[in-house]
Amino acid sequence: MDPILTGFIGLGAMFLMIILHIPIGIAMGLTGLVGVATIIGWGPAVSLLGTEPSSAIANEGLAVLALFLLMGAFAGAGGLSADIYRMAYSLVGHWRGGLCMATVGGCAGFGAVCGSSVATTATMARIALPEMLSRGYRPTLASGVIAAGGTLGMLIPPSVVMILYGILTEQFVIALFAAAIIPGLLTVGFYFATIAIYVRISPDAGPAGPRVPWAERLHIVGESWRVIVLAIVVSGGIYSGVFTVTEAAAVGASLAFIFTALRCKMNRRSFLNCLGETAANTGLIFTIIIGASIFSYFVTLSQLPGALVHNIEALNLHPLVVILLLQIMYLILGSIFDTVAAMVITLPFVYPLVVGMGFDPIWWGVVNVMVMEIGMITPPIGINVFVLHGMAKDLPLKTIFTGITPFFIADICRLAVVTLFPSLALWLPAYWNLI
Amino acid sequence: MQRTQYRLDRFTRHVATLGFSGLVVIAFLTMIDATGRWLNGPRIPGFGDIGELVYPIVIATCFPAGLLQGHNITIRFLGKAAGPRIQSWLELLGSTAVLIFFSLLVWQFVLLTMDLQANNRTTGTVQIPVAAWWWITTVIMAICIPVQGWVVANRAWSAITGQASVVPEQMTSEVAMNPDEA
Repeated sequence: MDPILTGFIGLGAMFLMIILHIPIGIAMGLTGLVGVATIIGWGPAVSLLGTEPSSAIANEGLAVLALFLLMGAFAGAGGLSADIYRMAYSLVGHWRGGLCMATVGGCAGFGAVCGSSVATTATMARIALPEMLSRGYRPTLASGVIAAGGTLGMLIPPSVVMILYGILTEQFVIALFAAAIIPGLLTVGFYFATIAIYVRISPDAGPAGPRVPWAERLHIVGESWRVIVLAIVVSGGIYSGVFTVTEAAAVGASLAFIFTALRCKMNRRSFLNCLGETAANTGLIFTIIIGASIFSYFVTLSQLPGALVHNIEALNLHPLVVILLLQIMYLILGSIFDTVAAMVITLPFVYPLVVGMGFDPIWWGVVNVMVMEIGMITPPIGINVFVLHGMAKDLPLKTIFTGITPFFIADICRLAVVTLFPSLALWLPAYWNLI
Repeated sequence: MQRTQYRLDRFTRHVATLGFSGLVVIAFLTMIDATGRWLNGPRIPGFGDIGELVYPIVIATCFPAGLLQGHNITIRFLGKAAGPRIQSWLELLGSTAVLIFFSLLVWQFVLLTMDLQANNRTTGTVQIPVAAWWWITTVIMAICIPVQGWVVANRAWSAITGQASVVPEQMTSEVAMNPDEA
């Protein structure tokens, strides 16, 4: 059978399996297995089930995912997220909409020690939502800012998804982290502006809180030293070259454990829960990685990406139009699929296409993660919305989706800015000689 | 049935806890090693080799618990739209596919480990034989087969009888309650 036709049939079969409740990682793995068997025979195909998974679980670069997840779990158990929120609240809580801005700041800060959007949303829902509602914030604004702000965990380094992108595309993870810094700050800026406009139009949506005296502010900042130290050691260690990414993740996990233990919050139960949570998330990610590695092998063998690039080039579309179409595709995929799975499934096709058109792979990594972030709050799936709804059952989904709308518009605007001005992502890694 | 589910749950959680406690230890050792390098102090000899051997074991320990707890990304809109009966058959299909995949994977892990043993493969720096470590990984991966077999059996029972399965679609990762104490 023609390999390209096999590739198309395989792709269809994989989507069919996914619709039929077969877990995404397993559907990718089984499709890859049968596809490779069709093209080069069962012997090499079955042996892939030994080589690909064993290389994945023995890969130190991938083990870093487990270490960052562990760091996030310990940081959450140790209440470091509450520290960041309290610090941000003491600084901007007296502004109109200030608690929302504190939430965005808290999300960005926790994202810097966590790396997961879902964990950031769940944590901030527990800390910031009751505070905002008790201060008379409108539920639409309060829920919207948490669901949208939670996506920062995915963009602000260290980001689990970015590590995954770096490993799957063989890009330098530190360059990806550096490239995400300015877009991450831009996101915070856009969200701040959105909140400011929102409360100017509806002043009662986010009433100003009491001003915290400077002495107390300094005291609160001083009390938040743990999270500041953690963020500086992990990020500073990576960018200064003191630590490799794996070492930084290990140091971060160890420090988060020590800080939590020093606060007497590390009892047997919380330790076991942290390990259980990390193991569950690690297993989930590795199942997808294993499936994706077998599937990618099949896709490469089928020559489908080359054919796709060739056909799209033949259409003579402007490269930015192709990027726009890809972004729309990711928004649609992100609204019906888990966003990480959407990236992993499409990467074997999309990556060669984007790089083939002359775009920088580091820039695309950042743009890809940004689109997926938006997918996390796009209906009907929008996983962050469901996480928030799960944490606050009395908040109807409609309220959360309504609250997200202004932040969704802000997301589209900043996505357009980073798409049109790649230097926003590429300047810092180039300045640090990482690309 | 609930007792078996509880025991399996406890066992797989213990396996994961053991593995991820190892990850905590590795994290601390990595911190000591990296700080030692940065300060030009003493290093742990052949530490890279240790990571190479231990990471597969750590990662493998998360699979049995993950399978039992249903920690897989699965799209379930078809089942939800089609009703509970069809949903239970689709769940059976999904869990059977997982069982087939993990059975093939374990078979290949056995072959791979036998190959490592036959060729006396060692690590690069301190020449530690790798086969023994990969046997541990393979045995842990092999636990996935009976665990997933239990999940499939429950799903089949649920699909045939129409009753709820004792294995939920997705469980919390928090420590479970003993049914005898509940």
